[in-house]
Amino acid sequence: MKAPGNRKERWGFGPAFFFVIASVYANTAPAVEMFGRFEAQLVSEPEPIKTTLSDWGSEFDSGRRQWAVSQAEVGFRERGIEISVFTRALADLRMNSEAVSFYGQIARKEPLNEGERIPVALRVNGFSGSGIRSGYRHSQESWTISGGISVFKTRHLMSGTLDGEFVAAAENDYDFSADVDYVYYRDVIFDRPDVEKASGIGWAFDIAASWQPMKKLNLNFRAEDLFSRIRWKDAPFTQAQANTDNKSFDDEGYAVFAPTISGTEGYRDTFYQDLDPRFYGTAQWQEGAWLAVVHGQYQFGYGLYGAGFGRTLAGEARILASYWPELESLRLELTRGKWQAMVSADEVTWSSVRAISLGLSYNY
Amino acid sequence: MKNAVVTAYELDDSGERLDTPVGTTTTDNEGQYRIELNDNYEGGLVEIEITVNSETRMVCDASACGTKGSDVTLPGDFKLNAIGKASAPGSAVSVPVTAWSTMAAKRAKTLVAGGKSVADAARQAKAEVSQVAGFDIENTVARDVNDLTGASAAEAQAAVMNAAVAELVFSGGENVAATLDSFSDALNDGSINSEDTFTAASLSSAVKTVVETTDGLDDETQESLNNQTAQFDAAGDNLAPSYDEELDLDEGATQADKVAAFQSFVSQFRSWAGSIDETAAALQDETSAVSVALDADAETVSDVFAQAGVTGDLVSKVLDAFSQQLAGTEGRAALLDALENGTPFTAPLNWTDEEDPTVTGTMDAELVFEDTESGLKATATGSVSQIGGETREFDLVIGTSLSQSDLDLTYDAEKVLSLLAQNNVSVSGTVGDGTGFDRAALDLVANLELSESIAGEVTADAVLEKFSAITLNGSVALANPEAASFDGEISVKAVNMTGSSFSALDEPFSPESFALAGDFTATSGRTFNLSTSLNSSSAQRFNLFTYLDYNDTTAAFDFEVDRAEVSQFVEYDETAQDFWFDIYSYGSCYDFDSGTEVFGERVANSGWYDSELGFYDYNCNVLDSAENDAVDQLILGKLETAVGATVAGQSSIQNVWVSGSSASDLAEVNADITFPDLETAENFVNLSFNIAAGVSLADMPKATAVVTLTRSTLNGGSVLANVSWDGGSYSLKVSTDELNAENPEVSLAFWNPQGFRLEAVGSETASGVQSLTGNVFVNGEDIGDVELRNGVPVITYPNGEETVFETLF
Repeated sequence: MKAPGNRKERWGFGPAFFFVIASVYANTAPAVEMFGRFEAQLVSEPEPIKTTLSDWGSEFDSGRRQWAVSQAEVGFRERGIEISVFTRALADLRMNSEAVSFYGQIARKEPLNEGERIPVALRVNGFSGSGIRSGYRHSQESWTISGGISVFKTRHLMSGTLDGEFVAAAENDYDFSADVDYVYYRDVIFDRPDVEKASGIGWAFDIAASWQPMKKLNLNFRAEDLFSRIRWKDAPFTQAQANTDNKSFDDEGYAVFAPTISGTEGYRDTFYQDLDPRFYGTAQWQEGAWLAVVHGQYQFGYGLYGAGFGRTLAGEARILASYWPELESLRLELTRGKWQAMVSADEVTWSSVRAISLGLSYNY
Repeated sequence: MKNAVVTAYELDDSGERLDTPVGTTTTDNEGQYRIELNDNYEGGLVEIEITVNSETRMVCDASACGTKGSDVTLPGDFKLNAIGKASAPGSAVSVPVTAWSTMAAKRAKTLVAGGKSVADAARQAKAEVSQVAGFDIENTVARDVNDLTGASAAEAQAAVMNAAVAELVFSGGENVAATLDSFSDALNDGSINSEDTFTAASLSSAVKTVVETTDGLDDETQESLNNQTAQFDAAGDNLAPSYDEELDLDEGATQADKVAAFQSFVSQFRSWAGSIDETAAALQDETSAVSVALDADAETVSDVFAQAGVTGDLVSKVLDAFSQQLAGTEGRAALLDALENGTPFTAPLNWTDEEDPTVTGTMDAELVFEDTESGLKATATGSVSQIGGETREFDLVIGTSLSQSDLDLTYDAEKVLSLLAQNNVSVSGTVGDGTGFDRAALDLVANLELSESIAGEVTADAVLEKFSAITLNGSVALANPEAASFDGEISVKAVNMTGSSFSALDEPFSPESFALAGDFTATSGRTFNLSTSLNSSSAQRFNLFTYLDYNDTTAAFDFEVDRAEVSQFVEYDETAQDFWFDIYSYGSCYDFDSGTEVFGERVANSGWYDSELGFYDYNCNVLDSAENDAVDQLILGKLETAVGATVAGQSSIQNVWVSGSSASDLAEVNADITFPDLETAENFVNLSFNIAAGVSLADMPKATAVVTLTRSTLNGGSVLANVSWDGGSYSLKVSTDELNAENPEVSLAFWNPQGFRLEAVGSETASGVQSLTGNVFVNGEDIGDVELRNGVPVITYPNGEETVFETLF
């Protein structure tokens, strides 16, 4: 039930009200354009996504990155001014590849190389949020440039590090020591009970540009989460040390991963979470009905590229197919009028998929 | 102590009293006091001294000071001390002042003289004495052992331990004050050893004496006292409490200090548990040094007692032979003649085992009686051999306090009790193996306890009527030529049954306790100490032998009935003068008409002499269902009379054999009965088992472990383990009231003598959801919680705005 001064309730109601007004306004003012988009990407280098969701780490073999990004946005544009509301989520997990391989070995109880020392460096960053973006788009004949600022309320904080070392003591035995320092909405490592979730306010800048220097050449560029930061209040944290000084072994004589842990839990009055910027670029060359396209993407410290070709179809429709070598994924894009849809995956069967993307936009 | 003078002195930094007392008062009728400190008090530790005046009386807790519970006067130089804390002038002090606190006060002053601060010394002394006494001597109220109504387990234990000191002090001679001084000086050097006026063994004995004569001790207190006395028994000549400086916390310790200290304690617990884990794993590896050593120890124990069994078996052949010679009126006459003329009894030359006639042997033995000033004495000397087996030579003296004029003896199994009616029978001597090697040396005393003394002539009936318990105590040394040996003490007690529901099945004696303690020497020369004891607190209501013989098993149940009750099921010529019959299970009769065998659950065979025909005639008939039911009812009716309706109603009849003949009006019935579980929630074998051992295993510090297993409910009980290891002392207790419950709850406690304690309760629902909750304490202060996270026990310690946590394992 709403109560006066309940900022949370008012904040949640605002964007919806805003959207309704914008819709009405759009109907009465033809210069107003609606736009919207939905994007989601899941990538898991070390193991299939399905395994990560059910039994994280059990099939780790190689690789070092896992991330999930999603965004849904809807807004309107009038005389270049853009106002939209959005909801987004992000999770970024980075590990060193040696630790990934070793963890997979012990998860599958494979023989170890005695004496081998494996450093462990794990970083995690994530949140979810919803808010408002305000921007401006300026278009000329051959180029368009836009920029905007987003302000959003955040939940589901996850940020921190785990640094340590595995040492293979024998084929079936290993030692582990690590330091953990992280903040969270839920203590997924140590299962701390009754955690009061943190709330935060974030901001981010974005710019985008498109340019057609020649009739056949189209260039697009987008940068998101520039100079972005989230300020969290009363963030639950844990700092802990783990070691396997006291060990146990299972029925097969393999060391059981159950380190002894000690540490401190509490709440940080203020915690700042920085978001890495993400960059996207596309170059497209059209020759008659055919298209050649090159994509570039940089996010979470990872550069990806894709290349492919496409063809325009009847009714202003266009289809593009591109291959992304790092993700071993095939992407298909279909554009018709102001609508654009995209799907990509590296495998056909869900149980094997390690990279998958979905996207849908209108007038974006 | 009632109306005793209580004086408080402040101590300076060197542990010396300041001249002016800071408070005085008098103890009340309950022996309690409360001193309010006056303005002379400056904030240091306070020493309380209790002294005696003409009004002072002490409640007698000991058998040696007079009638238990009555008031006794004390000598003028009798005093007790304690060191306690206070906060400011006007504050009150009422720390318990006992022999234990006196011991702690003296120990503290010795530590101060060695360079410790008064506060540190007081803490260490209190922890050490609390470890010896088994309770917190500073914070446990001193209760009267004669009235433990409403006492907690700790208070009850404290009362028993105080009474045990009274036993030692008041039986130590006329100068009670001097004896008390000797007692309280014992721990000044940090251990109770052979240089002190009492030993761990005498303390153990005193505690056991008090426990036997104290009412109102609950299971928890009994278990704790059992474990404490087992620790004393295992300590041997050196009872040395441990103290960990790392865990020392002074009065100004902050929550952070306490948390850090408890984390250190938990780390020790993990190491301890990890070592046990490693040892258990090593024990599973038959080739490991640990396993080899333990196997050798177990083999030593087994071998020593196997040889003792052979010795006992052979010697008992001789004693049985002499018993037969002394039986009946002829035996009595022979005994009187022997006493008058010194004529020895000579054993027969050959013997045959009663149970296995193929086992035979020879004996050459003599029994000489002598009437001495202290009573009748019998000396048995000679040798006994088994053909194809071992030989034993013996020289045993059996002493009694009976006089010749008391003799009215006929030595059968029950009436041997009359030999014990005047209290003691001693058996001492040696048994060798014929090569000059002594296999056994005995010095035992058997004692018959009567519920009240027998007025008038001592007869067998009089003894049986008054009999309440029989005990056997003493020392035993066993050895075999390969150099494995045992040297220790044995103690056995059996009691008379009262209120048993299995009276027809019960043996005459119900075992109440058994204890064995001593040193084993293995063939390798390695020596280890082992003590074990078994106590049944329900012995008077539930016979352990009955339970072992009949519980959930098939056993024979035999009785006689009027022949007519069973002959009605047999088809034979009832007019015949000479006949026989039997009825048995699962047989068959040949049907001449059909030419086939007819099988039946029960079949009756009979034979009789037909005078008309002039020869024997025979018949076979199969009992019908009504007749079978009637036989069952006959047997179950007898069973109900023997063991009660509940047990009989749950029992089932297996095989039956009935036999009768014209020679007797009675028929014999032999039935195999499958008995049910004899125990109920209200009536079960309530056992406590102790085992204590010095454990010295490869790659591990030496440890002394005392484990007490107590079964306190039908499906529940506890395990209490105390381990002294690597300079520390740790206690662990796991208990549950009902293992078979739908959601059994298990309680866990782990603590040390310095006030560090973890308590937790765990359970699991039918769907497999586990829970664990608990608390951790330092000196009684709750400093943290125990909870389950991801199935792992975790301790959390609030520390300001943050929480420190750690996994238990």
